[in-house]
Amino acid sequence: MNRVMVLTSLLAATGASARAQTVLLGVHGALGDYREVSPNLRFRGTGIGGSLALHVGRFSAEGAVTRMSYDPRDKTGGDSSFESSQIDARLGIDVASGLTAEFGLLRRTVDPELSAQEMGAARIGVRYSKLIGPGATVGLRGNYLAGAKFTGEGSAGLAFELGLLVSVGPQNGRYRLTADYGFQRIDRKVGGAKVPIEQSLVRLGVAVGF
Amino acid sequence: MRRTGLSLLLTLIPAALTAQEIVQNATLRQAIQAYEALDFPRVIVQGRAALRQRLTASERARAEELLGFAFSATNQPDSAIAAFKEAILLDPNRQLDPRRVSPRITGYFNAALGQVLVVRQLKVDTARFVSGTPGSGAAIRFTVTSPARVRTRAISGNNSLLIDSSIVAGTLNLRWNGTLANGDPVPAGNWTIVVDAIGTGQNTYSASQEVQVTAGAVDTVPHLTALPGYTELPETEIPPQSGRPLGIALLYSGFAGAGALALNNGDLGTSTGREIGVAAGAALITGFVMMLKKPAPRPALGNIQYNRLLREQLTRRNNDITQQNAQLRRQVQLTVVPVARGTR
Repeated sequence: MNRVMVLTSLLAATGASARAQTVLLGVHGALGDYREVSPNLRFRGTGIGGSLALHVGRFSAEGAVTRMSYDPRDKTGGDSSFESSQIDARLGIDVASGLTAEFGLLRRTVDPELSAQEMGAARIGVRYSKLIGPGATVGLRGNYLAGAKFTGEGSAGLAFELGLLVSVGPQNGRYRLTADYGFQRIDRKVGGAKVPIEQSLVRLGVAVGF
Repeated sequence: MRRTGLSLLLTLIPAALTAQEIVQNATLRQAIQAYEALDFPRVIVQGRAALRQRLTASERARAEELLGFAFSATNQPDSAIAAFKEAILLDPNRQLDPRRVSPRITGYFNAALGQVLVVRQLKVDTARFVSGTPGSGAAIRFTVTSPARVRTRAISGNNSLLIDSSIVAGTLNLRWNGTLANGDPVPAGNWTIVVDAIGTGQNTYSASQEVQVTAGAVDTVPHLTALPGYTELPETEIPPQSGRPLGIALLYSGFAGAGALALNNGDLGTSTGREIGVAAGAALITGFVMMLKKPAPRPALGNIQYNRLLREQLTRRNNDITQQNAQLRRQVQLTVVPVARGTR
């Protein structure tokens, strides 16, 4: 949580000194699907979270925290429920109309410990947003998750994140309804053994601009 | 018959006499009365008697003119021309109205004009102009009755500026641009336009016209806020309503769904698709609403380009005006007004 506060403070400080900026502060509810190792280890959950986004000219910074409660889909398998906290941080720079290059971090922790894999990774990728009407955009995101680290050790040579973004609201940006879908595939290997991870997470929220 | 002809002659010249000023000399008045009574011999006698008396220049000119009319009426052309010459020398601007004076008298009068050297009808028009501007200046007009070298000058104090020097007979139109020899504007004040005519027989004549010159600042040109005849066009346009928003939302949702399906790891089984379904549903609802909504204005690139060119042109024009005004502020506007007229 300390990292969240640091990130939030950093974004706020940057925003205070910048001019011609847009700040969006939002809350969201989330639905998630988490799978690990084999088809038998599957969890489904719901959660809530908050987000802060700052746009200054061509530059943008986004941070989101989502707290999820996952329950095993197969209640008879002896798996236990767990909670996860996921932090997503992204810095973006507009490189063309609607196209943004993104760099950031991903951090997911679980409670109780070892009930699922905790992980962290850097992310690098692009986001493409398209205005489809007054104040409405849809977008796609593709990130490569680099340097993934896990509590259970191992590494992931191939780790992707795919996203679908929807944002709609009045043109003055006073408030916005958002939907943010993210699908992660992490081909984790430990000592040559495949222990993959997949997560689908959709966040539906509202953000206030000022 | 002769009497009838003279009557006709007289009916053509009443204005030449009635327009004269009040005559003080009694003898001259008697000559005028004799002329009105068509008693031409007595006109000649009384006219000559009046000329031997003390008369003003105007009265003297009138007496000579009266003699000219009387000699014309009695068929004495040489005497008529001689009398008209004297009248012209006394009053060079004297004119006969060709609509009221018989062609014979006018002919004698014109013959007299051709035999004397005078500068007639010197006039300087009132003018306001920017000193040194080509084609501008105060118009000067006069008539030289015989071929002569004519020098026209503007004189004020120690300044004597040659306006024109030419050999001419007839009417001459000149323009004084109000500049000194070095190109600077002439100082304000009273100036005299002097016309010197030197004839073939070394006979000379001078006429002058005094003018008052005042100097002022030249009006500057106001800057433009818009180009006349051109208006800026709206830089946005509202596209026609279409199903494009829904189509885009469908396309993007399809990409995301297909991507998630393609990237799904088979070792972990299949996903329920709940999350992508929710996100795709949100995108499609948004696209559907936007399809029904009035489209957002989009930039009209042609109009933006047009407005940019218009503004560039306006800026260029205003820069020209700025330079023009800087030049105008260095210039002097002269006003020339004739104040008196005389000859010598």
